[in-house]
Amino acid sequence: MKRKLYNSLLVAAGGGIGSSLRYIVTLIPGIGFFSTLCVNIIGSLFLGFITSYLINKKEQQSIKLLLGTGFCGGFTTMSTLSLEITELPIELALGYICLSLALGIGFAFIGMKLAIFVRKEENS
Amino acid sequence: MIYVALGGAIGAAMRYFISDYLGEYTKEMKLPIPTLIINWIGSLLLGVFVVFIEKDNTLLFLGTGLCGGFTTFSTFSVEVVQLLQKKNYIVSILYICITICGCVIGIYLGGLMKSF
Repeated sequence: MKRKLYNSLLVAAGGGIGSSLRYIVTLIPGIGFFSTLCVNIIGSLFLGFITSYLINKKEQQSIKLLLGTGFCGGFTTMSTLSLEITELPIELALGYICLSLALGIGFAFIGMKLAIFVRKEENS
Repeated sequence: MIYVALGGAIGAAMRYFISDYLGEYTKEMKLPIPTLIINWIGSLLLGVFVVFIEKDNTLLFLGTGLCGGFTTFSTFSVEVVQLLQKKNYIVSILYICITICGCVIGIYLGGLMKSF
């Protein structure tokens, strides 16, 4: 139980920082819809990297919770994306969904591959 | 800013607890159920908040902070990649479709509540 409380504090700290950063991105002048797209792509890349980099490192569970579950989870958002989809005309909404999905999933994959590359470099 | 940070912290911690709890029951399943349910609930809540709350700071706290921190796109993307790597193509397409459809329906349902 104590462990869980400690873990949730880590996630909360990361989530607070991630959400604030997401909010700061929305304040960039003229960014509009691209703010959600940008945070989701960057967050996916970063989480892909962390997930793959720390996959066999049990002792670094705390870092994973702080940066992965907390920071990346708080930084990216599905709820705002859905809200924006409902506000766009149908053709634009479909394009926006496809772009978000393709780039988000693509960058998560790139992040994971990058982590494998970095680990190989470290070991050699 | 402080509202967003506080809401995001609470939202992320809630996500951790729920996914931890649901993960115990659904680990046999191929579909990542915890993230799916979290994104659905978060979108429904955001749909409700945007139509009912008019005060800016409250909306920043509950909408941008809480719902934004609660729902996650990054975990979704990574899970899709992992499904694809395991060659679960049908499951990953299904996961993408029901996530997006469910979340958009959630937003609409939230808006519908205004008319009652």
